[in-house]
Amino acid sequence: MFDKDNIKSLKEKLKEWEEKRERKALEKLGERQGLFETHSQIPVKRLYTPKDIQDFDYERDNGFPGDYPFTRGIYPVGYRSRTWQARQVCGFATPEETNERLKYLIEMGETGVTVVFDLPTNNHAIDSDNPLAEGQVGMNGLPVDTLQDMEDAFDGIDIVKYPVTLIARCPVMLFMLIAVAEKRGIDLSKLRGTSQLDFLTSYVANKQAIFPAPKEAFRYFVDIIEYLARNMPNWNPMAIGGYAHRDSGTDAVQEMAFMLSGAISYTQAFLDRGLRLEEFAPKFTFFMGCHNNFFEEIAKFRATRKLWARIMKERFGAKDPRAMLLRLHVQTDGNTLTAEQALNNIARVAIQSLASLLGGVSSLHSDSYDEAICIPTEESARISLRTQQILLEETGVADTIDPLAGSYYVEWLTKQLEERASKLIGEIDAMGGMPEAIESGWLQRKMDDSVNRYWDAIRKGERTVVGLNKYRIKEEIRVKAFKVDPSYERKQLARLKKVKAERDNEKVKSGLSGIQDAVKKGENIVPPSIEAVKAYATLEEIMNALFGDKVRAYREVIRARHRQIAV
Amino acid sequence: MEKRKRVLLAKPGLDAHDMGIKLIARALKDAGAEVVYGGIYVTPEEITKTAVEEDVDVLGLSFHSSTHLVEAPKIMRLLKEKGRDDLTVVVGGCIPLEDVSDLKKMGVQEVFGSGSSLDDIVDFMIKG
Repeated sequence: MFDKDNIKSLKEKLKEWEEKRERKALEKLGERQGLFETHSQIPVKRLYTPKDIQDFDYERDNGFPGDYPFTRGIYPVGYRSRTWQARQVCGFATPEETNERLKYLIEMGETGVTVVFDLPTNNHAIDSDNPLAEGQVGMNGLPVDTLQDMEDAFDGIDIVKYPVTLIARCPVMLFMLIAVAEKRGIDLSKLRGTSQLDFLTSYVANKQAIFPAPKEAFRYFVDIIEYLARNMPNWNPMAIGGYAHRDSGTDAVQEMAFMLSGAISYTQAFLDRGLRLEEFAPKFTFFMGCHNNFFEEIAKFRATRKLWARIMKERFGAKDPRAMLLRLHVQTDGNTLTAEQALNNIARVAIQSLASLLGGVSSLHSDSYDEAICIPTEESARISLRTQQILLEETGVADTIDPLAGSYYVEWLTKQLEERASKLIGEIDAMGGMPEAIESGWLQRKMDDSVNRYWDAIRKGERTVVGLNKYRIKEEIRVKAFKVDPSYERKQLARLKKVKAERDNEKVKSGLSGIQDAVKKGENIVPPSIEAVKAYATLEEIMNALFGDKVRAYREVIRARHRQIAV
Repeated sequence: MEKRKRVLLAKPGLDAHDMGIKLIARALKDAGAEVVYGGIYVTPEEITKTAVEEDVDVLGLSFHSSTHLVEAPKIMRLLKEKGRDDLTVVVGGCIPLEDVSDLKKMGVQEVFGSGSSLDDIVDFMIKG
């Protein structure tokens, strides 16, 4: 992009400027801190010039929006035509209360429904009547024990017209939704929703402990993707996450590398099964956070799109450009919010949302300012939506595509992130992929190191968090109680008891042994799982039939690993 | 020289927000305490068993999913049954202010909710 002679003359002039002007100013004024670096510890120079991106090649490194390597975005017209639909997640109390709320949201104009599950269901895959679930049923999401719960939650809701997003790594809720569709006589190929199913992020970042060791669990998820690719081609089977890693304390480079390494491991496993790239890759979606270091985050989104496109094309030989697209949903990072002087979070979220827009993400959830102390109120949720609207409709930042392209600093940083993430992906490749990185404990150690480095810097005052370690005021922080009426738990237990009393236990038994047979014989586990769901086998019964004792054993491995404290 | 304080830290319940409690564990170690870290998803039985076996002076419990009023009473009752209700019990995490008095009535000595400083927590656990 730059003429060699120009660069040569620039270098001479820059040297002269550094000696005559810069040095003098520094001698007089000094700098406000000793070290300037990004969150990922990339040293930040005082000044960037064409010299820093002298090898930059517009067509190779950027290209046009909607064209390989998609650095400037996956859509040819950016945000000028379509923006995104804001969607609220929903799920609480019991299936009946959730159903009412879902219908209300649709009445209010939502174009799809997004369901979250309670901790016993989502994070532990146990039934509501398991003693461990006491006090937590319906607390932070929808409780699901049997098909009856999904039937009631979606009662009267057209799941073809309103695509369903299931925020769950556990596949049983998806099997239940498929059973609901089949019982209604719906052609499965018409379902257009999304399931999360990114099980590789369950072990370290989310500590879910509901699956066997990654290498053993893989086969089940390959079965599921194979089933979905062949029977539900319009379904988005996997939302591959970086957010969970980032919010647990990793830096931007690690977030990129861990997310893409997971995607690489999935892709390889699906190809090994005999699936074609075009059958599954265009349906992947990705999910990252947006942290505080403004330019690093913008560069991160640009670099991640580019890196994924390159991996799909060069490593996996993708021909169809749709298989190279990083369809990216972003949420502003929850762990940047402070309980102290919580209103300051409005400023943080606005800046993070701006970075996300400048980074060209496909969709965005802006956090509410009070999320460090309670479930968002209606007012705080509205402010976060208004923040997005102000950015889009008042500031003009979304009026031209990828406006920071060509900035010496942003292009330099984009390249830095791409190279550093690539290197880390190479390290994970050398270990044998993400499953090995998890099983060996390497990923856990990396994350612990990052968390400790981040918080040590805050403790020592080397990293400022306004209101937390600097500019504190005396204040009383009122954590708002989020209390779900305990009668809901009793109601859900009664519902489960009724289903267990009324179901045909012979059918349940044969359904569960159908799963075990498929597991043993190496047949696809999805069809028998759907049959067991239809016989009203419970979530916990189905998980036991699928995984047996292996889950409990690995749960202890995970617990033991999380007991270790890196000092 | 004063005996080093032995502290058991644990996170009962089904959520896994352990960043805070792990930071406290490291800060306690830095301040010279002996820390036994019980980890996540620990049951009241596991916690009290460890507290007795490890002969700790202080028990720190972290809650983030509104189960403090379900789990804390069970833990306090089991401590009493095991004759260890002399322990200093400290609760932290996402705790609504209106629940603090209920926790203290059960015998919890101090509650450190959102916005507490790490130094205050460590000081209280070490000096009591």
